Amino acid sequence: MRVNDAITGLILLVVAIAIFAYSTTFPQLTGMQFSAGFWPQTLCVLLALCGGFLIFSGIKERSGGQAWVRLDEWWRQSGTLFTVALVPLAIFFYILFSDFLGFIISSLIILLTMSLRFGLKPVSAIILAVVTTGVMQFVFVDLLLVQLPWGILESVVYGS
Amino acid sequence: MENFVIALGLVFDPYVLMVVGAAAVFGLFVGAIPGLTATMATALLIPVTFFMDPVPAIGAVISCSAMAIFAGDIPATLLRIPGTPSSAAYTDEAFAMTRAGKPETALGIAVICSALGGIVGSLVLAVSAPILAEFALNFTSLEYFWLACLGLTCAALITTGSPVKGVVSLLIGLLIATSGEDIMSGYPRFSFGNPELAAGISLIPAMIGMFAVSELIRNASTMKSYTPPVITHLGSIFSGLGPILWRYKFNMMRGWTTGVLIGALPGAGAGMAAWVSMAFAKKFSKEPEKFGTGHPEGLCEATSSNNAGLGGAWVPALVFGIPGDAITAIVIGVLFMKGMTPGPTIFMHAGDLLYALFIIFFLANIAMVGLGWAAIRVSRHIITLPREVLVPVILLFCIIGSFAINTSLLGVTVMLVLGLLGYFMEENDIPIAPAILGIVLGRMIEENFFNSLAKGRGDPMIFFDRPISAVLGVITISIWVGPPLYRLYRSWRGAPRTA
Repeated sequence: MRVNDAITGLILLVVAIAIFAYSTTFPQLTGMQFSAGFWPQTLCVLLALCGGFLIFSGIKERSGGQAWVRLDEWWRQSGTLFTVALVPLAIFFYILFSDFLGFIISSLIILLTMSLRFGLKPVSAIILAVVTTGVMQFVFVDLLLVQLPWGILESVVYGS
Repeated sequence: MENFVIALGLVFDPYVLMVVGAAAVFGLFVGAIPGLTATMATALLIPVTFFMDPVPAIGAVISCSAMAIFAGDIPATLLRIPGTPSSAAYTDEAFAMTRAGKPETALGIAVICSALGGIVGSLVLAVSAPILAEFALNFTSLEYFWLACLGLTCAALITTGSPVKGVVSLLIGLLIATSGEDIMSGYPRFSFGNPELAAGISLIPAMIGMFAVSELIRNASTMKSYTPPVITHLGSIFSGLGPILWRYKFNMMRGWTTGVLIGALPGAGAGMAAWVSMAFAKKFSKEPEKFGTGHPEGLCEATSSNNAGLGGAWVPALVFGIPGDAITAIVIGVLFMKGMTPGPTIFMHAGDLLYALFIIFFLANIAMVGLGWAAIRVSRHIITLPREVLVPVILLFCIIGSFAINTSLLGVTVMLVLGLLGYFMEENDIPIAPAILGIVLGRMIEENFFNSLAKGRGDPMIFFDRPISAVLGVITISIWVGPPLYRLYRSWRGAPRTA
């Protein structure tokens, strides 16, 4: 998705103002010349200037006939849009449910859903999900000693 | 000499050699797959290296990045799809050789020139870094402040496209780096009461998000239209190579020089070195008309250049703590994780470790010939790996990698947010590399800025108090104000004529 520079500039301007305003609430300790917000505020001023420049150049481009938003072909294909959205959605799913479901079940769900959606045959998708989850569990938990969540499987593995 | 002997012992340890070898295979694998970059390979490797000792951890990064940059040449030659952006400069030329029935020669040039370029880059790094470090020992916070400013300025302005968008990317990175405890007062900025956020945003999930997740989103968007390529059988890549390399030896030498110099420039990296070398090869060629028809001259120069650039990028990273490109930005993150602060003192405190890294640089580039040959032999299987398998597996690896750094879901959240941000940025021609450099150098700039001001009791003229800092300051400010003033002058001069 390509947006006109004026929109990017406007977003930057709004973000810069919001961060600047929030960082004015940071305290200034007695005896110190600058508050904790001085550095982010300086960066916000520069970001706002860049935002202003982009708004200006975007409006100039717009007068040359450029659209506000240009979508790639796949945005108009509802199937592909969902396929693409699956990448961030899978991460979001892990953030929400991995503590409860545990790594193994979350991983199996993510891999199965994605590979089936991407067009893999069911048997291949099941093999991919099981093997990948097994390898990840072995590498990160057994070799690198990372504490991946067990979730509802905890009682099965360690007993209740 | 004593450090060198200790370093030999550190490197020739079976575990270290195994890790370096495995990272090399991983780098070749990822680099050879079109759409997956050398930076992505390095970023994906970090969560695993996090749990290793410094020598195998950094050795793995060295061998992985060197192999990935070379491996990008394989699909570039066979399919006209650069495996990594560093190969884009000569993709057309290499593919023209394939169309002319000489894919083996193109791949042979790529593997030998990449290895030689990498060895020269390693040599420059091993010789120049300690000398520069001795000089840099006299630097104070003033010089470091200006050096970091200069590095970030180059990174923002050198990027292809609009310089303003480069600056925007840099400012986004610097703002991300402001989260966490304030250096002077210890106040937790932008933590919103979350104790994990008070420690600041972790670099590794940020990099995995910006480089890997954004790439996976792009891969998913082309999933339907992607058809696996067909690759014919390849003959010996070394036959008839000697006379070609001998004929273009001066091109290779120029490629080495360009590569090392451009590689050392913050923000430029191996990709830009290859573009400049390709342009030089054509400009100074006696047969420029042959370019585009499968002529090996540009290929010899540019493939030498991008791998030499890799060593060059390590020089400012190790000596000043200022990364030359996105890969060395990751390296700086790894060094910090391993308790090694990059800068001149690293040469005094961890001399043996540095020698070990130099040795690994040489070993990786020598091994590139054999491993590269093997990768080319099996390339048809790597390149044609189905996307529907790769994307879910890499995504899961990203999730676990981001989680593993602090065993926290905050890392996964950071990865998701910055992945979406990175995707939006790249879609709109805002480069990602300056943002990463901003995240890496943000704290260093802020700390040196306030330390210097404290030394001068608030007087900003302190930044021009010492000769070197004054020179660096003048250069940096000239780069900031020079081009806009020149543009204003030109428009002022041009105005009466056009009126």
